[in-house]
Amino acid sequence: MIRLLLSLLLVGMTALLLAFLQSTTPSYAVLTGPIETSGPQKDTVSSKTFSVKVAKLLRAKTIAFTSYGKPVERQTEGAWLIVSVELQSKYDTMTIQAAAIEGASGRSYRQTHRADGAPRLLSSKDLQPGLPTTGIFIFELPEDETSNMALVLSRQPSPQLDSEIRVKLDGETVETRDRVEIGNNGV
Amino acid sequence: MNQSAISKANKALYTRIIAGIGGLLAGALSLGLSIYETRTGTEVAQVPPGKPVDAGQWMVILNSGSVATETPDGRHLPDGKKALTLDLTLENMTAESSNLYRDTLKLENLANPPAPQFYLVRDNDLLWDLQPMMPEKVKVVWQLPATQTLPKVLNVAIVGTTYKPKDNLYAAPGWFNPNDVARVGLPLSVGQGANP
Amino acid sequence: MASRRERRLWLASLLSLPFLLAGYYAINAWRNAEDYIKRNELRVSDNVGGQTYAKASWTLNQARVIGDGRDGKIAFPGQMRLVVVRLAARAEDDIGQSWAQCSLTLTDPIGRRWQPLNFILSKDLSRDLDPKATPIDSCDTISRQPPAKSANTLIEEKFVVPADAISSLSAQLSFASTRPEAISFPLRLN
Repeated sequence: MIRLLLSLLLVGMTALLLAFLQSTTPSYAVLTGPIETSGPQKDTVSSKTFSVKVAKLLRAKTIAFTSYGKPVERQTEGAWLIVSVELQSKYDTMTIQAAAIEGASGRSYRQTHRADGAPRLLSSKDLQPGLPTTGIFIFELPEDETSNMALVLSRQPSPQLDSEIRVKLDGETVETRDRVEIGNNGV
Repeated sequence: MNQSAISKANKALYTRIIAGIGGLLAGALSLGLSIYETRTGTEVAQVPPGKPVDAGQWMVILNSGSVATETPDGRHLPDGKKALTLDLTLENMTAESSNLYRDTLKLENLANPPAPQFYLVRDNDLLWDLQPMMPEKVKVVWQLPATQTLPKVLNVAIVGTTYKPKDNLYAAPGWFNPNDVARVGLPLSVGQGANP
Repeated sequence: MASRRERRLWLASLLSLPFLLAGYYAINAWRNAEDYIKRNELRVSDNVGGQTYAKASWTLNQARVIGDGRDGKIAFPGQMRLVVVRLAARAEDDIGQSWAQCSLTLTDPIGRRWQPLNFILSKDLSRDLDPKATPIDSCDTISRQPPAKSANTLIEEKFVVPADAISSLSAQLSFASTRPEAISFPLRLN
């Protein structure tokens, strides 16, 4: 009788211990997820593989540019956000393909494809180590998300054991214009 | 010696009986569950066009359907094809930009439709990602052979998914279990110059 | 007795579990390590004249720096410079597939590595630099049609590097058939 009770107790305790271990193990996504580095907008935020310095923030209702010789104009119900940055790679030739803005509500707004073909877009530019490269990222998001934003950059979307840089953007420095022309020399 | 041999044989018999009962229970449970699943799920709500439908990831409002000779970005269709065009408003209800709208609409009374193409009406160009909490007018085009007869009222099923914060494989969030959430009957109007 | 032998067997199986698990992880790790070794350049040696690498003998044919005005009229903004590296190869044997997945990169002592410019950009630049000459092919193109035995060929790649790295650059060459070994050509540019 006692032996049966003892063995039941042992099984119960082992089950509790295993449940505790299982609930406190970080999930696979966290274990193999991005290696994050954060910083404020005024600093150059560096991770192990690349660094970011945000130069200017522009908000507009309409953007215009020339793509393959044809003029393109894009309007939005919310707001366009154009972020000018200087990127620098540390060791390898790389492209920063994933850029998103985390808005005030925590939602993630990836860079827009509606502005594909705009000049100086950084998602298709090769970064050579030692050479800083300037360019822009363009995002589309609702107006009320622009009050508290963070810029999230990484080599690829959903980086796995790769650097991800998060720059906390300063809402005070956002310049608002009605219409922005994106040319080869910047905005 | 004999006593211990007999008790061991008894123990083995009991173990076998208990294992057998357990196995039978498991089989019965699984069979019952599959029978139960086929019973429910045959009723899908019928919704009038213009009413918003919550499909988990997307808020879908089907407005109208028509047949056209051009795609919404102004390109001509290849010879012998017509474009079945549905007008809708799509809103991304998730927490990040998404382009997983392709499986949201199912044409019920059309045999073997090809994969649809999505267009953003605002740009008159292909639709890429939809940003969260920003509804957009969208046109969906199925390129069908011009000779195919279309029903008077097109039944479109809206497929919804449910959110799971931790899936069974990677403990990562995702949208699973696609199922028909609503059905909309769209009367098809003929667009300009539809007769080839 | 039967129960003692049973007990010993049971104990032996239990004790062997950790060893079996360790063995399983070791075998998997070995496979991953083999894969890693095959894909990375781990042993870099300086190119010695006459040494055969990937069935050919190699020499550095030319290394040009463009953008500071010394070579040609083109000038690039800031620290940006263009380095054009040309290697000469003489096939010592039938090359066949041994030149597949060619990697020609520039490295410096700090550990930075520059990948060559893509095909289209490289061709455009060749035309800008020398409108009359026929452009020399990149390593990828040549590796698909390698030279016959005892024939010579030229391989050219272009790189964008910062001006401060130029004095310490070396070109590093490897192929899928020769990795983890790679040969290096110090460019000795000033």
